[in-house]
Parts: sequence; structure tokens; C-alpha cells
Amino acid sequence: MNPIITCTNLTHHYGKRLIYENLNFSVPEGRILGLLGKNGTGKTTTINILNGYLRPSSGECTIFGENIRHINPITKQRIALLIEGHVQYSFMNIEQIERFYASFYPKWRKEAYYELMELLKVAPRQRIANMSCGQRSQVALGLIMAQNADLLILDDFSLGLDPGYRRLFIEYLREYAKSERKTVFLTSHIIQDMEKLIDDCIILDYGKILIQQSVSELMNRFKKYTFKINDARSSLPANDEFYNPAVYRGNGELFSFQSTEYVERYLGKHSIEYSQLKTEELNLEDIFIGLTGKY
Amino acid sequence: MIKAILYKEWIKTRYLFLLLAIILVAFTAYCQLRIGKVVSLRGAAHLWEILLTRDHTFHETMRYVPLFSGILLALFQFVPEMQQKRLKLCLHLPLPQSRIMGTMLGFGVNLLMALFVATYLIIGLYLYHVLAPELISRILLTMLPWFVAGFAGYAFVAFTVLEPTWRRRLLNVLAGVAFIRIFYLSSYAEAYNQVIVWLLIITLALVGFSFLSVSRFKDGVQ
Amino acid sequence: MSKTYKIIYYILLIAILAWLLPWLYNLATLKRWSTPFTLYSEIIEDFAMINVNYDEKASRFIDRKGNSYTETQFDSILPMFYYRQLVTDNKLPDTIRGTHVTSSIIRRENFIFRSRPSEINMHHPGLYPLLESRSKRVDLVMPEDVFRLTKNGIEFIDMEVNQVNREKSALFQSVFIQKEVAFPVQTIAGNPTNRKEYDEGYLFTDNDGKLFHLKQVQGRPFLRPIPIDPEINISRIWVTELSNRKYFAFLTDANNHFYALTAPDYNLVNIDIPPFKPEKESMTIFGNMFTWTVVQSNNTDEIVTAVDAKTLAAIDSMTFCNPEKDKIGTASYLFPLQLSFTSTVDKFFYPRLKAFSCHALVLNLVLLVLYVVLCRKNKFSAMYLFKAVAVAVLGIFAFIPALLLKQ
Repeated sequence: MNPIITCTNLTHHYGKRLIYENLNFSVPEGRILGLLGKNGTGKTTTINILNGYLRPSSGECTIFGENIRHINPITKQRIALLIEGHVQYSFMNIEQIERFYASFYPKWRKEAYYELMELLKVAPRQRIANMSCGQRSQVALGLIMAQNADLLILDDFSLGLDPGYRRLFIEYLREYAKSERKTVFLTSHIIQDMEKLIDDCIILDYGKILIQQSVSELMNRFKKYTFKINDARSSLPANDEFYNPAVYRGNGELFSFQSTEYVERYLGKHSIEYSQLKTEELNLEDIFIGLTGKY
Repeated sequence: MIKAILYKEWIKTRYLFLLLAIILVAFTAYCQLRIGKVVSLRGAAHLWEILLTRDHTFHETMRYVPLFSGILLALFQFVPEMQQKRLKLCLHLPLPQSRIMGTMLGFGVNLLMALFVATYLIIGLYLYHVLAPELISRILLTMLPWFVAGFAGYAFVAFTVLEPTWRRRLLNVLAGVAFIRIFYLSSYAEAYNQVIVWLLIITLALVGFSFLSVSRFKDGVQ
Repeated sequence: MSKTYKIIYYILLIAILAWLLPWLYNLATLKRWSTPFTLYSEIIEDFAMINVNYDEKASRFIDRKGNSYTETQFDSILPMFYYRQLVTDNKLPDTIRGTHVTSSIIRRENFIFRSRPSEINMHHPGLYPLLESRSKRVDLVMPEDVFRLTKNGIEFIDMEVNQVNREKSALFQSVFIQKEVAFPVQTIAGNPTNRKEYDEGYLFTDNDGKLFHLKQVQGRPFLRPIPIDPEINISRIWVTELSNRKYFAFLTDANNHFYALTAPDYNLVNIDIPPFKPEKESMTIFGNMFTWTVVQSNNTDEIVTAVDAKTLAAIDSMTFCNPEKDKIGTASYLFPLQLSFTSTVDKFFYPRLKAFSCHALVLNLVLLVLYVVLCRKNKFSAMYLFKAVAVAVLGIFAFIPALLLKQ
């Protein structure tokens, strides 16, 4: 499958502070890819670079094969953008904003927008500024769906949404993207419910990509191991295959893609006396914490 | 597409447009009342004598009104764009960036132009009955720098609001204050006659400073 | 586009600094140069002056030779100027230089004439009220109409109705044609005010350089051609309307000679003073029945000439020079040039570059080196070269914005 977005050797600094170095990734067609990371790992930076609102220190990104620094306006019609916090022209009402955007996009689907707007209990002349955050997110989503673009870029869409609206947003978006074979690139710092939406994920840690794979594979392979330790040690010997190994009051825990046998061998090799070794299946949020740590 | 951008600018500024129109008309009416009062109390000859011998135009109250209008218009147009970096939405539209910005700035300049030309017409039509063309042109020419200052105010406030960093904003404000000061340096009648056309051309060209701010915004300067 | 505006912004900042930095510098350092108040004394036959010492806030009364006077002595050596004080002190002599004087004679003969460049270098609307010069009332009255001079005639506008008074215009126009005035009129002067003793209307020169006198006498035009030497090319006129009624006007010609036009016989008499350029220098004449003290001053020099009131020939003269005149000030080491927009000698606004100084080149070079050192990490580009050249030529004005706009 053709990659819709590719970034090669992307490096960015703010002043002397390094955000990340030599980032490489691509977003394949028809997939929903989530760029996940804690605050400050460079999610919004990446979105800004992709949309041409930031010149990276070095590296190159393309969308639909075009360098994003000089993207053709026509190509932009194929890209829908949701800005962090569902920012829209809040001085307009829902009719005005629809009329405004309609003229820019030849494939505009008014019905898709108004279908969603009917679910919102707002007056047609109510200004967006006077709406709740949840309602605003629906307006932004409705506009993106009406634009009928091939690529959707959503920056931290979950910000400020209560669980009901977040679920609504996710369900609507997934249903829309899958039925229309849209490619979606999104970021989020709230991982809850995300496995219901995304196909693939990239998990960013400070300065680098920790992992990039499909969510189903990740959920199948990534496990949490817990066990009781009989001696008084407070840490475990380092091993590259383990993420965030820790000991707390005689309870050991570690996260890994490796099998139970590998963990047993490791514990044996370091002659750690243990009991009650358990394997836990994890949801995406736990996987995220397992990979990036609690701090 | 251009029409849609104009539509967006109009939604942002329509109430301000109304307010500015009212302010300009009110100030014009006040100045005309003053002129009317001089004529009715002391006769037209006294009015003419003052205009001939002093650097007085009877419109001094309007001095800063166009500047104020230009500044307010730029604020109403561009502050909403910069709140929550809404400008990103604008720059994401499928049009060349310079066309988008050019349309927004052109809208502002034309809106000001419409207000100012209307004000001039009202003043000119009123004075037409009271004064000789020499004196009308003296009044209108003496007032012209104040109106060009309105465009300068618009240009520099747009430039400053769209600028992404505070340090550079400060510099832009200082440069703007210095540039606008030029229009108020001399209060003699018709003092700017020789250069006012050039000042107008330069000022309108400086409206393009906003392109510099937008380009810095796009580079993500912080 | 943004690259062009980058350069434009840089140039704008340079211009702003070239204007504001010298302005601030001058504001902080400039001392106002003042000359002593000087008059020619008919008694000591020399210049007497009041030297105001600003530090002591006291005045010293001296003459050119350096003799000191008390204030009362000073009144006595300038009896024509201080006659009112002398009358109060009962010290006014009844004859001076063999002529009988009284305070009323002195008052009638005394006059002060002033010309300022800023009153000449300004826009005039070109509408002239023509007073009735022989009204039946004691006080002069401002007219109800004004006239304008067109390409080929004169036109009166009734101010109350704001319309051309065709009848009066035709009447005056016919006289203008009759007296062969060549339109358009070149230069015209008058004092259209009712705060004067009497009215002499206007004097003007026509397109052929001929001089005319225009008045309104009992509603009728009075237009008189004034025969003058055709070699004399009148450039500026001041209608005097002095209380002694001895002159109609002062005039200058293209060669900066200064003349008086005598009344009532319309004789043009050369006043024996150095060339006078009214657009650039100001003039004050303190006149009395014996002598005129003519003060001509510009920014750096003040020439005082005593002129005999009868013959208008020079008696004596002295010059004051600004001591800073030829000194090279600190400013010329700081600023390669100065930009200003207004001036004390005119009422116009336009950019003026002045005080070009090559002494500032030293500082320019220092700043250039500093700029190169500070920006050594920048990539070499056309913009960098442009800014470096600007710093070399415009020094501090280009250096500060170059740093401010540095990425």
C-alpha cells in the first residue's frame, strides 16, 4: 500500500531544546494511525510540521508525495485538519461556517454535516463560541466529514471532551473512516478508548519513537508480568527486552513482548527467588503506561 | 473561494463597521455644527477669515478618529485569527497563502477606504455650500494625513497582531508608533501637500508587512 | 513577498532611527544660541546691547566697545526706543541731534518690521480680502467679500452666499485690462486685517514683472502701475502701512537687494544692507526717525546694520556668529547623516537629509567589524551582504536594526 504521509529523518529543536531526532515513519493508505505520547513529546510539533506551520530543524515530510513546505493548494483540498481543542471560527454560527467552507471543497457534502448537527441540540443561529466544548467538537467533526477529504489529520481531538462525547466522536469517526476508506493520522494524550479507533500506533517517548505497530499485534504480544520476590531487593537487573521493570514491597512487575518462558529464564539466570508469576493481558492504555512508564 | 474569505471577514467586522460609520458621521456632524455655529453667530466672513489667517480647519476633533478606526479594524480582523492560533485554519484553505492574506488585508483596506471616502464626501458636500473651493481643498488637504494615518494604524496593528513572538511584536509596535507619529508632526495647514500622495502609497505598501508576520508564523518562530 | 518586506522593514527601521536618534541627541545636547538684543544708539553713535547671561539671570547693558551702563543710562542712550520710560522719568530731551522731538512724534516715527521665513514658506489659499481704504468710519472694517486671482483675471466672491459677485468682478477686471495688467499675477502682498491704522490694499507684480498698487476706494478700484527700473526683478513684497506713512512697502528683488517704496511718490529706494534672502533668513527692523537697526539672522549668523532713516544708507554694522558654527560636534562622529521632516524656516512637511558627515565613517567601520563578528555563525547570503554594506554606509542607523532583526 502507498504511504500517504512519509517523514524521513525529522529532527526538531526549540532553541536548544531537542524535541526529537531522526524520526522516520509513514502512514499507509486507508489506515487510522495514532501518534501517542505524553505531553511534551512532540505530537503537536509533528502535526504543525506536517501542516506547514513549523519549519523543522532538518528532515523532510511528504503528503501525497508532495513536500509539505510547498504543497499545492489543490492537494490541500484532499487533507482535512482538526486543530487541537477543536478550534474553529467561533464567531460564526453553524450555518455560516458551513456556507464558508462549502465553497472551498468541490466534494463538499452538506448532508453529512447537517446530519451530525441535528444530533446537537443547538439553534442554527447560535454562535460556535457559545457552545460547549463537546458541541464544538461535533461541529469540527461535521466539517471534516463534509469536506470529504482523503486524509484526515486530527490534533489531540480528545482534549477537553467528556467520556460521552469522546465515545461519540470515536464511533462516528471510525465508522466514517472505515466506510469511506479514509486515511487518518491523529494524536492523542488520552489513550482510553483509543483501541476502539486506531489501527496502528506510534508511541513517542522524549526524543524518539518507542514503537510503531498495529494495535492488534501490540495487544496480542505485549504483556505485563507480575510475581512475588522473596528477598529484599528493590530493583531488577537491566534487560533490553523489558520495559519499566519495578519492585515494590516484594511485588515485582515488568512489561515485555517476550513470552513467559523468557521471563522465567531471566529470573532464573539472575537467581531471583520468585513465586506466583502471572501474565496479564493489557488494554491499550495499560500498554502505553507499560511502555512509557508512569512518570 | 475569495468570496467566502470576504464573507468571513465581513462576519468579523460588520458590527464594527457600523460602529465606525456612526463614529465618523457623529464626528463629522459635530464639526459641521461648529462651523454652522460660527456662521450663524458671526457670519460666513468670520469663518473665511479664520481659515485664511490661521492653521485652523474646524475639523481638529477628527484628528485621531481615522487612526482609531484603522487600529480597531485591524484588531477586530486579526485578533480572532490569532486566538488559539486560528490562523492555521485560514492557511490550511486550498488557496495560495498570499491570496488568502491578500484578500483579508484587501478587505480591511477597502473597508477603511469606503468609510474614509464617504466621510470626505460628506464633509466636501457640506462645505461646498459654505466655502470657496480654495478653502475646501485647504481643509480636506490638511485632514488628509490623519486619514492616511488610519491606514498606517491598520497596517501596523495587523503586522503586530499576526506576528507570533512578543519580542518582535514590541519592535513592530515601536516602529508603528514612530511611523504614525510622522502624520502628526506638523499641524500647519496643507503642510503635507508635497508628500501626502507618496505617504499614502508607502503606507498602503506597508500593509503588506503582514506577509512577513504570516511567513514567520508559518516557520513556527517562537 | 516576505523576503521583499524583510528588506522594506529593515529600511524603514533605518529611516526611523536616522530621524529619531539625531532628534533625541539634539534634544539632549543642543543649546539655544542667542545673540544680545542690539540697537544702534543715536547718542553714542555705536551699537548698544543687552547681554543676557542666562546663568545669572541678570542683564548686562553694554556697548560694542565694552562700556557698561546702568539700566537708566541705557534708557538715555537709546531715547527713541525707551522714550516712554524717559517720559515717565521726565528725562526725554526736547531735541535730539538738532531735531525737536516729542513722545507723539517719536511714536509716529517708530516702527518694528518683521519677516520670518516660516511665514513665507507656507501654503496660502490664494483668497484676499480687500478692505475699503477710505471708509467713513474711524476703524477699518473687514469686507464681505474676498478676491481670487485667476489665470486671466480677478474675481470677487461674496462670502455670505459663497458666490462670485459678477458685477464687482467685472468692474475690477475692466480696470485691470485698462491698466494692461499681464495675467497671471506673480507675487502679491497685503495686510488683510482691520487691526491697523490705515489700509494701503495690495501691491503685486504681473506676469511681465511690472509692479502695481491695488486698493478699494469707496467701492471703486484704485489700480496704479508703479514705474520701476525694468532691470529690477521684484521677487517679494511686504506692504508696510507704518504710522508715519512714509513708505508703501518693502521689497526684495531676484538679486536679494532690499528696497523701500516711498509714499506718496512711489520711489524705489535701495536699503543699504547685505543681501537678504527672505525664504531663508529672518529680518527685524527697529526703525525710528533717525536710524533703522536692521537685524538679519539665520541659524549661524546675525548681521546688524544701522541705516540712516533719511537716506537709507548704511551707517555701521556688526556681526554675531554662533560659536559652534565651525566646530565639529560629537553628532558628526555618531551620525553619517540626519533625517528630519519639519523645519523652523518653513511650514512644510517633507523628508530632509542634512548634516552629512564623513567623520562618522570611523564609527561605521567599527560597527561593521562588530556586526561581522556577531553574525559570524550566519550563513553568507545576499541579505547579509546588504546589511553589511548598509552598516558601512549608514553606521549606527543600520547596525541597530540589523541586530534587532537577527534571527
